[in-house]
Amino acid sequence: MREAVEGLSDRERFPLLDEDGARMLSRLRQHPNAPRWNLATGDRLDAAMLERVRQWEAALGAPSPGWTPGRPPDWVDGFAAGCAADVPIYRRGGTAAFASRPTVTRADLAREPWSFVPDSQPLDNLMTFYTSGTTGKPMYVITHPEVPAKKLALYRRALRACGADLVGGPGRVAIAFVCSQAKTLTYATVSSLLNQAGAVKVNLHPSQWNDPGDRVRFLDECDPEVLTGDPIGFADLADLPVTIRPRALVSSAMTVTPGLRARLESRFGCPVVDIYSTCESGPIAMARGDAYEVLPDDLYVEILDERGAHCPPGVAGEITLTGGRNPFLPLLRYRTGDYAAIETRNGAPVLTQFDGRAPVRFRTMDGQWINNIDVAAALRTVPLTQISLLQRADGSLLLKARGCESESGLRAAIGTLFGEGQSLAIEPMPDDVWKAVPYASELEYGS
Amino acid sequence: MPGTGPPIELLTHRLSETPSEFLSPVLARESGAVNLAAIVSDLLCDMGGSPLPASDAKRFDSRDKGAADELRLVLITCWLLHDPWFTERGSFSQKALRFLGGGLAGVAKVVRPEKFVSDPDRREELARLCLAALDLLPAGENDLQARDRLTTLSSVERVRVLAETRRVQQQQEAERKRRIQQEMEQRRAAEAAPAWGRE
Repeated sequence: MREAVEGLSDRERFPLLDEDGARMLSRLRQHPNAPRWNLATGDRLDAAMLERVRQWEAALGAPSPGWTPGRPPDWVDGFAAGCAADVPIYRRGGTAAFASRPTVTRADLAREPWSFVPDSQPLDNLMTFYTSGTTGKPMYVITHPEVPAKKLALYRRALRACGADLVGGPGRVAIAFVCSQAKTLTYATVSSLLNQAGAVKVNLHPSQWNDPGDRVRFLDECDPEVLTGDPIGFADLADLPVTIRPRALVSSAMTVTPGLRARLESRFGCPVVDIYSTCESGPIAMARGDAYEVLPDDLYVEILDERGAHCPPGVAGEITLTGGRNPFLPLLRYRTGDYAAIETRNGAPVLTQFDGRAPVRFRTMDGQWINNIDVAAALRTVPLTQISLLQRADGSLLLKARGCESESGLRAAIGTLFGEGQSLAIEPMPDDVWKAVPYASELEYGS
Repeated sequence: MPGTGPPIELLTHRLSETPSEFLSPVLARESGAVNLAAIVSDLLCDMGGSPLPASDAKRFDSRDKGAADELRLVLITCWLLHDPWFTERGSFSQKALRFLGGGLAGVAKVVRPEKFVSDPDRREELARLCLAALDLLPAGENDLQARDRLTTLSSVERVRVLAETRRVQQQQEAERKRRIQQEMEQRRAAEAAPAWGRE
């Protein structure tokens, strides 16, 4: 674990820090029950940047992005032409019109992030962040101070759509980003977009605290307006005797199972907002019922098959993005490595069958092939936080589960789906794994 | 001082009517190949010169596949130079031999030979190359106009400019890559950005 880095001064980290913000920062950093912070970081927004972010947020329209599946918004052609002229990796794709342009992948970005930076983009204010990813290799992504601030604005949009809000303000802790893993960066910071409100990222792992009881004392004392994080952190938090009453929980990175959602909503007395988001694009869509509504106005989403053709409505393919708001990373037909179908509901595009990764097929006892969506559906009623299901070459199943309250319920659900006689081993998910591949098979389809 | 040649249109029209025999294979022992050395030799005689010397004939009697495009262009050019405007003057055989014996190698590397028959710009380019090689100006043009027009049409020049552009672009990209990687390294060492929530 890295030590706190003193590379920047607070003046550089927080160009707009005022007295309220300084007081908040000091309170969080020096709190007697605070965890052992291991990073100092700030939003780096200056007045001009903050004004641009506020204007961008004010311009976010009604919750409809202005396009429907297969019919891109007007800005796409100009955006593609600009990329073809100004961005090295897209220049290699020639000047073809948008619909016939080649796609790019996470592997391209991991290999040569520099090639996504437009020639005309000044390198001032370049920041980096690290992403571990579920399917790809870890990598550093280049970003700009306005990008995380706009992510907050999109969180606020999603929260308002669910009847909650994110207001912040002096003297208040607006966000507690809750993790539960062996190692991660933790910090206390202040947001100028949220009017000098505080924000913390904490790791519930006891080793990160002077006293395990401090976890509850610190979070209760912070009384955060909103919690952010992932299902694993939230599930662990729900087990602690915290008395906080946030306005909402914003969950991303992994799909929230219906069982966990119900448990969290009951435990914290607020809605759980499930957001599909990637490091490369920021928030993409929010769960509403059985579908995900596209959240930002500046992303166009295509669902493509392996050859780059559009999948028909309702047929799952790879989620492919165009647009975005990172000036160092314009996305032009960027394959996310995540899978879903797209269809139009009430005139707006929604993602369905969202799975977050490539479909995996499993063989049942009578030789039928089912996919991971079937498995997810069968496990819908079983309360658990996270699973990782592997079918071995001999057809046997290994299921690693976290937060499973009823192994017999899990066995019954798998038995019903796969048929009598299915071999199934169930193990707890190791504590140090927080992003596990949810579905995998060693069987060759059709064998 | 270059002399005055025929109008360009006369030559481009002749190229557009190139008989199919002049688009035949040319390599020695190639199926259906013409005897290129004999055709060149006939042309030189018809232009009032001597037959092709044996030492020069080897160049046109090749089995080298790498020379095929150039020799096919030589064959097309023989048809062009066989125009009565050239043969009747009886004074171009030596310049013609120099041109056929090496003057077409560069352009043959960048343009397929049949393009000099099918494509209007390439027909004009070949016509102008021929006139320049024979030290002639197209009728109705001065030296500057003729050179300007040939530079505009020049396939070799176009490829050179493209290559130069690509080279400069690659150089700029390499420098940009170095700067971005340096910035990333420095900023990574300095401080990560706040995340606000999980991606």
